[in-house]
Amino acid sequence: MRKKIAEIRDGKRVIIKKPELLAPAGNLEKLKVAILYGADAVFIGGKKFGLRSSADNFSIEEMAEGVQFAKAHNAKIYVTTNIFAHDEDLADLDAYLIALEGAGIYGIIVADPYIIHRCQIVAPLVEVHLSTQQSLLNWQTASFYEKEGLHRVVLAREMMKEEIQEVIDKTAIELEVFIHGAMCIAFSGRCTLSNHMTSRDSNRGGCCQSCRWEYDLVAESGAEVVKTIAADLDQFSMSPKDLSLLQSIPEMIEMGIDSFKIEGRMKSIHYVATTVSVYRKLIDLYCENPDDFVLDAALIAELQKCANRATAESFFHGMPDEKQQLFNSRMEHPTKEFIGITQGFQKEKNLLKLEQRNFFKKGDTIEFFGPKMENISWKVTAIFNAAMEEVDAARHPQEIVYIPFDRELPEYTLMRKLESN
Amino acid sequence: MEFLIAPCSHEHLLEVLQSSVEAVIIGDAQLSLRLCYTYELNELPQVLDLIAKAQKKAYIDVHTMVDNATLKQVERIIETIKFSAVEGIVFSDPAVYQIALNLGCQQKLVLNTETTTTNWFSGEYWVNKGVSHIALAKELTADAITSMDMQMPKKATILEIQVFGALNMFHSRRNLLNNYYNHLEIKSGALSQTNYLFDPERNNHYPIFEDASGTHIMSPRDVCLIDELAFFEKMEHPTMLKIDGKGHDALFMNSVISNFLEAREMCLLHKTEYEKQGKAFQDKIAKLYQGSHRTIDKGFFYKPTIY
Repeated sequence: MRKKIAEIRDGKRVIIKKPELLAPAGNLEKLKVAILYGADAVFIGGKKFGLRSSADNFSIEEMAEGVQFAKAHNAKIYVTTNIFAHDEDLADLDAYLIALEGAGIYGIIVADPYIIHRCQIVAPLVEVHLSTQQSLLNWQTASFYEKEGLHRVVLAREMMKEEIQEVIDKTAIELEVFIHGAMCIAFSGRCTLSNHMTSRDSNRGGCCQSCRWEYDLVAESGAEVVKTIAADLDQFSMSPKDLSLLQSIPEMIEMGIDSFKIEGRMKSIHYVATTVSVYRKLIDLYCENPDDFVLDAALIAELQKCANRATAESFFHGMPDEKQQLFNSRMEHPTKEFIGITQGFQKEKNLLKLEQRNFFKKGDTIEFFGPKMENISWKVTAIFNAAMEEVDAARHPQEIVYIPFDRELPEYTLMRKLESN
Repeated sequence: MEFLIAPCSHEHLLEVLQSSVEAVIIGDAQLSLRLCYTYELNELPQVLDLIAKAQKKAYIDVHTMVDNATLKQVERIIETIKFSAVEGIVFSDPAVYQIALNLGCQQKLVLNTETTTTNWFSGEYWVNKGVSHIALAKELTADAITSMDMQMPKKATILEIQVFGALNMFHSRRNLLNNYYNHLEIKSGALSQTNYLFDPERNNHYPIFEDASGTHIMSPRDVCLIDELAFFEKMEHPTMLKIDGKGHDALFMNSVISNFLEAREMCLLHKTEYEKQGKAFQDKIAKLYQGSHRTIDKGFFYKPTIY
C-alpha cells in the first residue's frame, strides 16, 4: 500500500510525501556541496565494484567522513556497487561490504545477483537497491525483486510515465527514477560496443562511450558496402540529449515516486550545486502549494547555467524522436562559467576569500549562488592575492584570492562569471 | 556437447530437423529477440509438434526486454505452449520466470540475458531457483568460461555458448535509424536495406537494424569457434552450442551446420585428427564468405577486456 501523497491543511492541499532528492558526488567536496545545497541523499562510488572506474571514488575513510557530514544534515549516503562482476572480481567483496556497513553507508546500488546476495548476508544493515543496469521495465519484475528482499529498485530510463505509474500502483517497493543527467542510448547493462571497439568493459566501469562517436551509415550492395548518405550531410549519431525532467517534476511528485535521481558522479561541483539547488527549490515550492504552483522561468534559466549538453525529457512522455538526439552538435560547455568557491570573509576589511577554479579578472561581472540564498550579481572591483598584493586577475587553479564584498556568504557558496570585462 | 540452431525460415527448420543437430530455437516476433525467422503465436503448437516428431528439442525464445504491455503477451505464450513438448523457455527478464511459475508451467526455464551472466554465482543464483540451462554472457573469454564451469557447483546445469553467428553488441528501445532519416528529412527507404555503422579507425562495419523491439547493432564479423570444440568437450557441465544464422540464408547455414557436425564427430571420435584439422574447418567456413565483405573471427573468446 503506497503512502498518501497529499492532505488538506488549513484549507490548502499540501504534499506530505516529498520525494527524496538524490544527488551524485564524485568526491568528498562534491558530497558536502550536494548536501548543503539541498540533497536528501547522495550516491558515491568506492574504489571497487563501481561503474565509474576513472572517477575519483571514495576510500572507506572518506566514506566514513562523508557519512558523518551527511548524518549531521539528516542525509543518507548510498554506494554504487553496480558492476556485473566476473569471477576474478569477487575475491574482496565480503570485506568491502562489511567495511561499507561499518562506515555507516545507508545502502548500496547493485546489479549483480552475487553482490546482492553477499550484502544481504554479511552487511544486513545496508539497504539493497537494484541498479538501473538491470534495465527493469515492468511491475512484475519490480515485484520479483521486492520478494527477493530488496528495498528499492531504480527504474530503467526507458520507462514512460504510464509504465512507471503501473509499477507504483501494483507494487510496494520503493522506486527511484532518474530526473536529470546523461543517459545511455542502449538498454543499460546490455551494451558491449565499448568492449568490442576498445576492449574496455562497459559493465565493469570501463565504458569508452563509443555510442557518442559519429559514424558513417552505409548500406550493402552485393559484396560491397557503399556509403548511403552523401558526404555533406550529418553523420549518423546515437548520442542522446541529456535528460531533464524539470518541467515534469510536479507530475512526478503527484505520481508518488520515492526518489528523484540526478546523474553525474563525473560531473563538476558547479553542476552538482546548480542541479541540486534548482530541483530542491522546485520540489519544496511545489509541495508547499501544489494547486497554485507555477514554474518560475528563472529556475529553468538557472539550470541552463551548468548545462553541458542540450536536454530533453527522453521517454517520460513517450518514445523519443530525432529531436531528442544530438547530431553534429557536440558543444559541451556550460553557459555560465564556474570560477570559484568561497572560503571565508574578513569582516573588518570587507574582503571575501575565494578559491579560484577558473580565470577571472578585475572588472568581470560575477554571480554568487549558494544554499538557501538568492543569487547575487557583483562586479569585481579589485583582486588581492594571498599576500594581499593587488593583482589584475586570478590566474592559477585553486589559488586563494580576495575580492571586496559587502557581506559574509554561506560556506561552499559558488561563483560564476556572467560577463567578462 | 549439443547444437542449438536458430533456423532461417520454416523450410530451413524442416531441413534442420532432418540433420543430426539436437535442438532448435523458435519464437514469435513480439517476445523473441533477433531471431532470423518468427512464427505467429497460434502457429507455435503445430511447429512444436513437428519438432517433437523429429525427436529434436524445442526452445521457445521469450527473452525480449519486457515492459508492462508485454506481460499479457508473455502470459499468452506460456498458456499456449505449456502443454506442448518444449525443452525450455528462454528468458531474460525475471517477469517471464515469475509468470511461468504463476501459471504452473512445468517446462524448463533457460536464462539468457545476453551480457549479464558473467560470474559463477549469477548463474548458480538462477539454478537455485530452478533454472536448468544458462546462456553465458557473450563477452566472456575462454578463461572466464573455464572459471565459471569449474566453480558452478551443480554440474547438471547446461551452459550455452554461441559458437557461430553475429553477436549482439547493442540494443536500444529507441528507433535510431528512423530518427536519423527524419533528422536528415529524407525518405527512410534505405531502412529496408542492410545498414552498417562504419568505424573507420578500426575498419569495422557493424550491422544495424530496427524492429518492433528497437534498434540492434551486431558484431562486424560472425563468431566461429568450430576449431575450439575440444575446449567445450572438456567442460565439466554439459554444453549447448548455439549456431545462429541471422543475416544468412538456408543454403549458407546448411553448409555451416554440416561442417560443425563433421567437426564435432571428429572431435569426439578422432581427437588427434581434429586437433590437426581444426584450422581447416575454420578455413572451410571462411571460404563460405567469399564474395562477401563479411567474415569470421573468434568474438571475445580470446579478447580480454580492461576496466
